[in-house]
Amino acid sequence: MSDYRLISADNHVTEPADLWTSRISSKFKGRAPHLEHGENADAWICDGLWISGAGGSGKMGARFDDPSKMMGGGRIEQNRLGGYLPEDHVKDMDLDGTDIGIVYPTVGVMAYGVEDSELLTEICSVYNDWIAEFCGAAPSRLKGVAMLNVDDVGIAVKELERGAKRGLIGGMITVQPPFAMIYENQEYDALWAAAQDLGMPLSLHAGTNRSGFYKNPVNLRAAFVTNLDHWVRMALGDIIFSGAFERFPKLQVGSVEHELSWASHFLDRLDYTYTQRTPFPSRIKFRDDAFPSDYFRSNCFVGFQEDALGIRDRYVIGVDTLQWGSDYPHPESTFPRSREILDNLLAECSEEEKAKIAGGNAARVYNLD
Amino acid sequence: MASYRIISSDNHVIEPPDLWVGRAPSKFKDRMPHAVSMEEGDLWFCEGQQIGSTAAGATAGLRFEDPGKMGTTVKRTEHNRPGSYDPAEHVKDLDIDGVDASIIYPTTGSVLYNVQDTDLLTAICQTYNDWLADFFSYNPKRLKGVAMLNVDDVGLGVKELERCHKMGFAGAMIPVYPPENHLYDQPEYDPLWAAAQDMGMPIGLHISSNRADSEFADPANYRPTFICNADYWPRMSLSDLIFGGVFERYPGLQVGSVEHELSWVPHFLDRIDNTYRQRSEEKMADGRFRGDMLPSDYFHSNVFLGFQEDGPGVRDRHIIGVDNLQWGSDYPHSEGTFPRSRQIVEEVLADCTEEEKVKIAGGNAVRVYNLD
Repeated sequence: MSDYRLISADNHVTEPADLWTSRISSKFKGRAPHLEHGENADAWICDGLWISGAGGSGKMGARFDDPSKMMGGGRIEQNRLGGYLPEDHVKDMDLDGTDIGIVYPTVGVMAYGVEDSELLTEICSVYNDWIAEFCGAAPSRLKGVAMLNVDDVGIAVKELERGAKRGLIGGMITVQPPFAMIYENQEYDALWAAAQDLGMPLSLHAGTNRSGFYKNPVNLRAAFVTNLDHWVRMALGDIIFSGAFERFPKLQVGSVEHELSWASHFLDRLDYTYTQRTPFPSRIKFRDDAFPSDYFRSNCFVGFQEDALGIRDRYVIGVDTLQWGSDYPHPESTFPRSREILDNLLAECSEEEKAKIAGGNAARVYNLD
Repeated sequence: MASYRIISSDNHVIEPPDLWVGRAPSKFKDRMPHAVSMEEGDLWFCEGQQIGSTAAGATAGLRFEDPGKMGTTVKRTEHNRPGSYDPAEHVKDLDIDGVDASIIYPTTGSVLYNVQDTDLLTAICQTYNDWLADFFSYNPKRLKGVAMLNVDDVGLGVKELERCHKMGFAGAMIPVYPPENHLYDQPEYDPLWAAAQDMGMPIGLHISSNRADSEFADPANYRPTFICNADYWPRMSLSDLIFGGVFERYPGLQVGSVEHELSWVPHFLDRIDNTYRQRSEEKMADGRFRGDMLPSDYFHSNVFLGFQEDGPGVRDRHIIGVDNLQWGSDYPHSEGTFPRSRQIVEEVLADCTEEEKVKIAGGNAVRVYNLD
């Protein structure tokens, strides 16, 4: 077994049933995400809409034993305890050989589709209070990422500052903002500046589309899940072409849970578009002959789980950009075989590369030491 | 110099300014795409919307000589390379470029899938197809036309496909991504898949042919990021076709991605099988495929991929499928390989075996399009 330090840059909590109902302010009473017990499965409902299933982490490990058992809904009490009890989360990390878990929500990811912007802001701030307490139980092992609603950039900046004070180590923003508010927009400069100055990396997690793909049933289809990297490519492309990384050179923005192997094609297309496609009105000329792909390699990080093609392409993508994550406790995660899987995946890498990809890059980007 | 036969699976015509107005049925005469000469260049308009330059073939080859000038010249229709709309000149340029046959797509026609009014789009397609049939009749052995189909009404799309098949077209194009209430996994498309299969007409999904959609028709979408990520649309359509079981029902059907390059494919194949095998609950597709078939198996048997200059994609040819690759020059567009196609093809295929070169440079297109 390997001896490099393992940091999972993409762990999750599975929110307890009363997380929001017990803490939401009176103004939003009755509108909080809550659990409903259906005939065949439990469901998270918010503002009258189904936003997520529940109980998926009860099927963790089934992918290794019997993948057919992964299908179908579940009950919240089937969830693994580590999803909401920090002591159990840490015990599972010990079992899996993981030093630190960078923790994302589960239901919270899907909540980015909640239409009412004020309600989403409240969902974020309630979650952030709860996750700060969760991580506070084992602050050297559990590192929380704040949920931010960027519909109003000023409010997001305040919430990022509040999260930093409470010990959270980064902020997550929607992977697909509304069309009128794409990340090319200079209104976001206040957020980029705050994230840079606070040393809080911003992340784009799979499934956080502001348009909420559960609102439109066609978006729940397999084609959509297959091609999820599109949205993070659009977000990163807009941030890069907006010149944000030129204006905020220490800003770090990452893709989480989209795997890696899209990145080599994306980088090829970024530079091709910059150099060879007819100039666009919005196009800027980067300083010092920099290419779009240069900003990707200096200012972006890429969370992944099991992408052999992406590891093969690590020199194209950038060895320093890669951050492994286990996706614990989701049913498709590598738990409890993370070290074995990662050892196989990184077999061709040098020791230095292994140390970076398995944990060193996350430690650097998130200032974990 | 290479001895293998080269077929460009992605050539273009540039529509002459009077193509639609000159041939339109009287009912649509006033609403057809028309050219307007403006200070910034000669531009196409349709239904009040500006839809691009009439001079997309004005700078073929300039990328090799003076790339800095590519976007700086005011472009006029008369600057276009004559082969853009004159078949004799098109064939002469094929000779200059060492290309044996040319599979021909429209230029402005692709963007016209953005026209909202479906009857108008049908008239645009038919008018274009009539014009292109005249164009390729000059030398039907070397000029192979791809018909424009409007499939909003699948029955009408099938009729136009039959009409074009009789006129000698080699294949047809449909929007790279349809409206969201009319996705390609819907059974209402089955008559189209059946007809394309039975007539041996491959179906192309060409870049920038998204069917009108309120959001994606917005000019703000025409930004660098959108172009960088254009592979999303054929990926979504191909996923829908695969998960919809279309290739299980129509095993002789061929559908291709055109002008989206290649290197997105390995990630796509990895994800499509992962979705099929490991994604849980509501996200999973309906039903399972026959036997042990995986989504990537249907991709390998029923999908072709037009590309131009994608070194990483050619390196990954054994993952993508050597039989799936079809080189194309994009002549006479400014970013095309003309007049250095042979040299570029040789460079991009340098690591391939002779058999692979023969397939990728032309053999695969011959097989899929049933050329001689």
